[in-house]
Amino acid sequence: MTLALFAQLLVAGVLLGGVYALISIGLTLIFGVMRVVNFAHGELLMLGMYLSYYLVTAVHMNPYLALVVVAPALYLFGLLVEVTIIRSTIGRSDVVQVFATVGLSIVLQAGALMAFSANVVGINVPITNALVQLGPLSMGVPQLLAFAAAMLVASGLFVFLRSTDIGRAIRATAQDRSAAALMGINVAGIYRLTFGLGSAMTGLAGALLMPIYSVSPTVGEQFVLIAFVVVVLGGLGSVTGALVGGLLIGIVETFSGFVIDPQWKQAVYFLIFLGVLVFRPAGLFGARGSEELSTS
Amino acid sequence: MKRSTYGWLALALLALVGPLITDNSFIRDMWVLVAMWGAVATAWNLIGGYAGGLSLGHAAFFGIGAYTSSLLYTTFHISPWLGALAGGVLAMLSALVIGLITIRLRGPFFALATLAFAAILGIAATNLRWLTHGSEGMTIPFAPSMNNAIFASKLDYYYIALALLMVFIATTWWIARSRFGYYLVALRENEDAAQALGIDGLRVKLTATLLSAFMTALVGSFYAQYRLFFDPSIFATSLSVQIALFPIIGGLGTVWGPLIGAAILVPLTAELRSTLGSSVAGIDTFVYGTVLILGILFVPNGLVSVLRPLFVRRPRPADQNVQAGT
Amino acid sequence: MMQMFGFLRRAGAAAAVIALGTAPLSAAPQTIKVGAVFPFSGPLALLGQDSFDGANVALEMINAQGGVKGRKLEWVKADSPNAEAANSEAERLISQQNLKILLGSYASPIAIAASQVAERHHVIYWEQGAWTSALFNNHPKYVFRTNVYAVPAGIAAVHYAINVVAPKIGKDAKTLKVAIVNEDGPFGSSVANAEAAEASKLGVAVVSNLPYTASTNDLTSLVLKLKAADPDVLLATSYINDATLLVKTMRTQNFRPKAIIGGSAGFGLLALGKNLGADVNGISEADAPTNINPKGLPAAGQALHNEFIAKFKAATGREPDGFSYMGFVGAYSLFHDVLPKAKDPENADDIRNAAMAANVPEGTYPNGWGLKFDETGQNTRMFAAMLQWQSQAPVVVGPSSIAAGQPAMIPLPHW
Repeated sequence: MTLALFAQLLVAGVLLGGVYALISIGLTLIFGVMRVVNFAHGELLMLGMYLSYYLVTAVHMNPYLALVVVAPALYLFGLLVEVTIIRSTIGRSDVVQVFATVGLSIVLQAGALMAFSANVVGINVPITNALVQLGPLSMGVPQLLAFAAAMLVASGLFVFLRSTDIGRAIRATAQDRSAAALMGINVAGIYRLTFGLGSAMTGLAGALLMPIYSVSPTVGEQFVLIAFVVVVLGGLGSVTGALVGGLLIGIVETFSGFVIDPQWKQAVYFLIFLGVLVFRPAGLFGARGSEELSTS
Repeated sequence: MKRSTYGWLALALLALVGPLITDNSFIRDMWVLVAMWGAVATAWNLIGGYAGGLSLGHAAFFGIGAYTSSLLYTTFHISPWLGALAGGVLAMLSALVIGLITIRLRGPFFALATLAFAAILGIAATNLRWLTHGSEGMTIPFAPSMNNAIFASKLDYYYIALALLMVFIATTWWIARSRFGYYLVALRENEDAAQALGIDGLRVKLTATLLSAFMTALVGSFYAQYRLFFDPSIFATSLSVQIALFPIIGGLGTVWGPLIGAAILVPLTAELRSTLGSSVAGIDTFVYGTVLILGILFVPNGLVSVLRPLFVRRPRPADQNVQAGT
Repeated sequence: MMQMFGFLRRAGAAAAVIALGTAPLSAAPQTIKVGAVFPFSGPLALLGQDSFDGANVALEMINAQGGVKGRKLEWVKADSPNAEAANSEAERLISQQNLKILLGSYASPIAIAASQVAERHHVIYWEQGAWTSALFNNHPKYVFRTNVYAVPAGIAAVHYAINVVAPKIGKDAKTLKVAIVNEDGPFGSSVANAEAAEASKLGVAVVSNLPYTASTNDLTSLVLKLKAADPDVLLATSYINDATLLVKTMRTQNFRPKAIIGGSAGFGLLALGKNLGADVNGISEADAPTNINPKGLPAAGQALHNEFIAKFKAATGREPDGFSYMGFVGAYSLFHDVLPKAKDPENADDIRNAAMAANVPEGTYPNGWGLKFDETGQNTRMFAAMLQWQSQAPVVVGPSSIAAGQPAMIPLPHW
């Protein structure tokens, strides 16, 4: 393998990792604070993609301007989901939590099929094909922007959790729900906010994916397992972990696809996933038993 | 006779003569599917309900059973009756490996690990074309005979599935009342406390997992012989979810819950698909998903909690479900 | 006891009717009901719906002409998103609805599952769009397929590489280097297998053979492997998502073989043009014919061609693609050229006899196909067309009788 080829693979892996980090941050936030493993995560992403698609094709909005509509819209949708479904699962068994969100994922997928049909649609505006050439390395502009957004979202969330009152309240709730309640924190309100924020970030991710991928009602399935792998690798609940985990999986996927075989690359990261669970179940950045939301 | 005795008699009679009422092939197919999924669900319930390990990878064992018996049959003409046993043993071996890795994981982590395990097998089944025919799938020639375990009549399949189901239910019933069953439930309710009392958690849970894997693989072989066609999608997450849904809807950690779940969900799915699915694509799964969410949220103890008074007056300790203890 | 049994029987039957719905109490003899086994939901729904829309134009056309032997045709739709659903839907159509004809399905696993059920019930299964090579593995008697499938399409792609591409880039079969990539589902694998077999038969070097999973998020590693193998021609069989991703990644990585020859599905769909814009131009593909030059058809064929396109557009508001044509041809050949010739159009053996006797010359149907079954049940008067994207629309460039244009952009210009 030449150096140029190695560098090209690395760059491609890092950029793909940026996409993976981006789609995982909302999932890890929601788990860290609420202990809810959201199996409907991929469908939130799908909704973000569709909304962005319609804003671009019907209203002729710039795909990156569409973010300012998609994120708030998904925030509101997240609130709706939290109030109607998620709230009733808090504090109940794993079975209720897992399968309520599995049910939600079925409903959203079927709803999307009814609303948008099975057509696979994508956007094609000049920026979706723009390239940046750096010596022998070439990068797609949408990928670069998604990577930048992943960094921004992660650091923004980091700062928000560290240095705002609401952020501290969220962390307190994540660490100990009952203690937080005793300290006068409105735990139900924090949960609602967290689920809304997590959904908004996922919607944002969806909008940023739209210039790269096509969307159809089942597109969530394509991403949701990777998002799980990333957050478990990084440590469920850790924002930094999602970032590092995303980058690692992206790099591993690209290199294993080249060195081993493209058709086995998914098996490789599932094996890594199992390995992490065996040797370090808390993930790279997860705190003890992955119970803590950490900004470490 | 007691009220409950009549209930049991009626049930036994229904199971034995129910499929004879009509020779309508679709309805007989429903009977076979209910017995078959009821059997898989009962197997899942051992680990998912009693041991509290929320497996989302049972399609792995199901698929191992289907592939093993079918490959032995189509390649070496080994009777699927033996092939099914081989598949069961292979499933136990794989359950041993994956069990050692995952058994100490709790809740969602266990679910995700088992899900990854089935996903890896699915990728392998697609890519090992020399062995599995890849995504073209396995086609078994229709050559009915007892030795081939292929039958022209659905009734034969039904009574085989029913026999599997009854054996599995009896096994569950026996476990639920045995010391082993109490260990399982104790571990599920409070693992640390149970370990402190001297229960070897790893061994007990592993035993349940191996048993569950063996049973699931047997039904996987049955499925292959019944449909005579399957492909790597037999390892799909959606199948694992489906398997887990039956006991969850019917009643987790109960002897009859898995069967009740299958008896409700199998016809419901088919009915929704046929009445709604042909009008607007997706509306049937939309309704199915909605029913699922409502069921999980509002009848968390499963339908068995609604039906139990018809059969049993007082619930037994080992027969209670998860929510009762948490 | 006997009374109780009788009660059970009645209760059971009543329960069955309540629980499982529509047992036909009075089967109306006027209509001939045909089961439509397609994936209307799930990941395969896009092309499932596309195929059915084509078939539906045929049904409405025949009904407008008075139906079959004076009897109207009617669909009984059965949503079959996967093989397991197809099994139980086929059972339902046959034993609940008492249908004698099932038409499907476009997707290979669904076709195999539904055709097996039909065969065992001695019911006709009429396939109009599935590409699998495994449909006739068990030598069924009542299973027919009207469409082109993986083997002829794969062969056509390789021949195009040798006969059209190679001379324009100064190569021949012995010096040409091809790479094969395919999505690893039944569709992509069977086309890729046919391509690999034909290439090796003709002595064409296959420098790389890379299957991948259609739901992949990234094809950079695959494209870099291809780039390292440096083929003259890329033979790619993909669905729409991955076809889009593949071409976009090739552009990003500046990998430009002298020709790209796709295999149906992703490379033939109009959505590819929308997704890729001008980058789609120059891509060729072996596919079921679509957008052919109607002047290549005899007068009757031209009339049917124009009528189909007009009615399809009116019904759906979009242009038909290769799958809609296959859907139409499958249904039209059955309703127009087989059922009316069957002694009893609801008797499987009569239909089978009429099908085996059918002798419709090529050029009769809107995509240039005809109807003549071989002993397995495969239509022999079908062929793969070579299309090429020119000015962001697929143009038929072969076979010459129905070609609407000439192959161009060989070798492909740089990105």
